[in-house]
Amino acid sequence: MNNTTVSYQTALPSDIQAAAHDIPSVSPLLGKIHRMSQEMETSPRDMVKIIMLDPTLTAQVLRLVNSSFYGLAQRVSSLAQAVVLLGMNTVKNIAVSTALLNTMSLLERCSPLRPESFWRHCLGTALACKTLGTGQETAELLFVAGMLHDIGKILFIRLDPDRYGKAIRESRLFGVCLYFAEQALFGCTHMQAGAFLAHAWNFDAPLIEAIEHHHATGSRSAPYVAVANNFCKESSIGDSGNIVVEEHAASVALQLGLRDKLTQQLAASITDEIMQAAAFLCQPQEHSRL
Amino acid sequence: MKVTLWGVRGSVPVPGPATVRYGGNTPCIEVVGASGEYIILDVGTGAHALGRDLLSRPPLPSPIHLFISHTHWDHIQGFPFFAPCYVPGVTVHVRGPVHFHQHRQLRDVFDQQMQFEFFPISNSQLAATITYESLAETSLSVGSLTVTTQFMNHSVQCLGYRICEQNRTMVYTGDHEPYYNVFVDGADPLDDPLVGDAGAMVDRATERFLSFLSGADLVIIDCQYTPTEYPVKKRTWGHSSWDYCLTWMQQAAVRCMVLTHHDPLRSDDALDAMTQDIHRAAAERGIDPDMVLIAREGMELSL
Repeated sequence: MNNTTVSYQTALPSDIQAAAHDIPSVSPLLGKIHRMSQEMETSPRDMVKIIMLDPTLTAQVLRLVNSSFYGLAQRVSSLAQAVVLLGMNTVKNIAVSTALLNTMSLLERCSPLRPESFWRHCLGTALACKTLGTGQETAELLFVAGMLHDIGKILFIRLDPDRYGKAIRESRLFGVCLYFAEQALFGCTHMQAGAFLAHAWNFDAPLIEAIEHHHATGSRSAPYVAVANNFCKESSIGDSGNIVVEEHAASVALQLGLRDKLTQQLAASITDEIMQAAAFLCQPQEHSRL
Repeated sequence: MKVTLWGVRGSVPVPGPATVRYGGNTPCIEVVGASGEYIILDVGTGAHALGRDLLSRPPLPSPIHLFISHTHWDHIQGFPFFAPCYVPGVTVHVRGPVHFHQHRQLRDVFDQQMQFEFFPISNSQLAATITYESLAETSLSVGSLTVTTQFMNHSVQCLGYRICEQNRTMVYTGDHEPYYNVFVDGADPLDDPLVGDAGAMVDRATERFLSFLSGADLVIIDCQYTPTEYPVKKRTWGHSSWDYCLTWMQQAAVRCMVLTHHDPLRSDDALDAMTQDIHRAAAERGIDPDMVLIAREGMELSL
């Protein structure tokens, strides 16, 4: 655990701390499962064992496998059986999409942000992080950090959506970053609230640090998240509620040698990948003959 | 029922001097019921010649019931070249499975292969009335014929079709690989519950597959590989080999089996040699070799 995070446990307003206990946890395997989806060489055994580490995800995958979409006449009661019947790629595809969409379920009460736009911002930042960190040992962490960097906003919205709407409006009115308005209206920023939540979920210290410092120059993963976060804003990928593009992100990108990677092509490929994942948001349409 | 094979090649069309005798077109099977019910199983590139043939012997059948085993290229690529699609007044009912990807329906997949980047005429411009229906496991009637579907084992959702007319039955598997236990890789089953769990599902799925073939007068089956190719080199590729086909033929008491979806690299001479191997093996197993046929373009079978 990282020292800067410890301070937030005491400094955070008590209503924020209380709200953190009501939020369902995101799969800690999100990063592992996503990496698995990018690799050709994962063995069926490794894949099944990774998914099985998360019982909730396992149950969700099996529910989809047994849904009317596949119309399987025989009931599938385990991941191993699902792999035999549907093949490894299908099961992997379902698991990855489900794990990503679980993050979406967190946003159900997301007014005044539009849940889908917010989710697109988070997934877009995750995908940008992954691309920017390609070749690094921390690429897996970067993806998760990107996905969850704004998780603190969920806490505010769950606590008081109207007050959060006011924060968004005021930040836009004055043209300042949203976290200034959060500080004024909630007594802390979404970076602090997010770090607190990540700590409560027992996430690793580097991940907590990335969430906590994603608006600063910071160290390790945080600057990547800062650059990716701004890139999504500039490219109009989703909506984080914060429309201010931070100038320091450009210099961070320059320092890290990432500027050449921030292309329209990157934005297009991220948008495409989000569209594919978003298709899973809709419930499967029932077939007329099942 | 009269069955005619218009395409017998798997994966990719391979016209040329090495494939003139068995044919180089990808899967397309014409099935005509005793009362004139008109069914086509898969529209690989063989559908081009079939469409031309239909135009030459009017009147055109309508409705045409098109059943797609799966939407891999080799099974749908003949659709834009199937002439009856361009004839006003003809109705074509297209049915088949879709994969759980981007929530696309069958119609979307067919639209996509006729986008302007790929083909000059869009799906919506076709003069015939074309309907689409995504299928899972089901049973439906086409005139006096009953068509029953069952999922096969392939890298994408693939349906086999069992067609019954009175007391006659034919089955087309589409692409199918023997169910196998992906977790057996030297691990001790006692130490790894995955092995036993998956193994039980393999047994159940195989049993179900056999019951789908059971007692059929004719089974047209994916047989892309030889026993030396499968399972050593081609496992997970989604196709079967002839030793499995012979085993299934006996286990499911199938009267006649037609082996199709030939590998694109298999020349006419190689298919001749393979036929000899198959017939020898059939005789050794007590199967009448004359009841094991190697699919050939233009082959006609009556049930």
